[in-house]
Amino acid sequence: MNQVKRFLKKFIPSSIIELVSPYSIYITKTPPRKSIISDLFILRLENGWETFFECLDYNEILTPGNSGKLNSFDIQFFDKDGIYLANDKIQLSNQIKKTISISAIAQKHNITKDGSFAIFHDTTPQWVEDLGCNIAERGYVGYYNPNLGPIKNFVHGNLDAIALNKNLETKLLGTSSFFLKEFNLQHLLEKDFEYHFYWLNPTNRTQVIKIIELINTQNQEKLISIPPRGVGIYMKNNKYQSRIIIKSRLYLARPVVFKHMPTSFDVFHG
Amino acid sequence: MAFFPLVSVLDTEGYCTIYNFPSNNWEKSDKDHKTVWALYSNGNQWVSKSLGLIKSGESKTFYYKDLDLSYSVLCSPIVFLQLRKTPLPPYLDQLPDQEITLTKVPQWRATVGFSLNQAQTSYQGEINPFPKKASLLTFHPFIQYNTIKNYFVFFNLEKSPVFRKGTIEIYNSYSKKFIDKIEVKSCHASVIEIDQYNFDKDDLPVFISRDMAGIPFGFGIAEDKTMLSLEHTHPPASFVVHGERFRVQNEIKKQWFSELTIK
Repeated sequence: MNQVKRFLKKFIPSSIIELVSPYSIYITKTPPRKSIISDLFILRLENGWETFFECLDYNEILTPGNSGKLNSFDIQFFDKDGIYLANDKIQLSNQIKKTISISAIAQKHNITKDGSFAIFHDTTPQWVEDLGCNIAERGYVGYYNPNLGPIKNFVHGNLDAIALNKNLETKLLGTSSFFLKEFNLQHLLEKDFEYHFYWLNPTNRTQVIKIIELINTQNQEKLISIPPRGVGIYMKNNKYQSRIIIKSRLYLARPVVFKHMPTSFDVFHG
Repeated sequence: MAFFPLVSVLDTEGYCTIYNFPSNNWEKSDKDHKTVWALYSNGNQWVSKSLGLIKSGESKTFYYKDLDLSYSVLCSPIVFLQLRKTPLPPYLDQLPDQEITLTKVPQWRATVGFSLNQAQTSYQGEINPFPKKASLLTFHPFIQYNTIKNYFVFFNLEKSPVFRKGTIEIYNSYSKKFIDKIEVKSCHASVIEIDQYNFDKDDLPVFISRDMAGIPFGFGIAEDKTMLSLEHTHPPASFVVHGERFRVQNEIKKQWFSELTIK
């Protein structure tokens, strides 16, 4: 049964499977073997924001005491429209973890605006490959803004959004539907707080998302168009308690939410 | 069998916002009015309490202090909230089954949060009971320096209300050096102060339990108490996708459990 599922996932688009079996959809595609996978992470640089990443040595974590290899990472930067901007290399030497300032690396490449980044590990241990698995970086991004608090807040990645194949080409793995879907953000937006919502588009098509804000009995709507690999941003100073619904062709139009409080901020997956 | 955890840890006030609307409009789910039930263990039985009705499409926030439970700053009994259509008896020997249909993409979740002064931190989450024979391996990269106090927080839920003790061992993942072992309790939130171990900025503490599973979090409090920071760490299966990823997880656990020994 699992083999049938894997075959369908690899060769039949989710939107076609949905026509036959609406609940059997998958939200990401299977990349070719030996591809290295990353989530697309939000890069915040504007308005005093700094972005950090916790790089972990997967060679050592996956094969403790026996890795014998130093882990290096390729970081790729994209702008809000999904356009590739630059890449850089990070090397771990005699350490299992390194907190890297993504902001400092971006600055080195004259990147000053918000966008996204992906992190690709350099190798996959043979035993992991033999079990048909792809290495995936869905790790931890730290956000810091001295105007909004004295410490960092973290959010983890959770999507296998983009793959780097053996020819060093990237491929987006997100899927979308023929039909409009509603994602109900299960979070109450409180009065007098400021909220920033960030969406990433992991699909090969431009996605239009409609943000429907439910305030008492009134609805407010806003449309945002997000190119492939691009970032959609909605910022709101909330005057009334409300909640939002996101209408799009994405199966999972889940934003990363930044909530600003008087002396601090919070960040979480919606 | 999803429950939504409500707990206070350290000096914070715990809260949990429950939503009576699904996470999407295309999966099957129950759209009726529902009652929120609180369940917590007295060590022998689950105690249940109705917290009132939530109408369809609405939400409600509950506070740990309102349950009036006694707790210590480093170990608090967790209250598990459940959305239900039928009432529960006041005492139960096992956790009740889920009786409503919840969405899965993403999971129907609550906002599980902590507040201190004007600061709040939260995650969107739910918790399912862990089997007794389960283990934990997690790496903790969230330590911050200078003006922050760092903690490891561990949530456990098991079907049985009988409190069971487990052990979390802490090691330096690079040197594999044993650091400490701490007793934790089932159906509780257990807190470990990390700063006492003086980890360097390139260190990656690894927390293992050979006899209990749970949800691990990194929790930070700014020294001036103006800001909180919270994020859960991933299980080892998250390092890979596709293929036989749970065999990869088992293999990683096997290797680390044999590599890490209390000397």
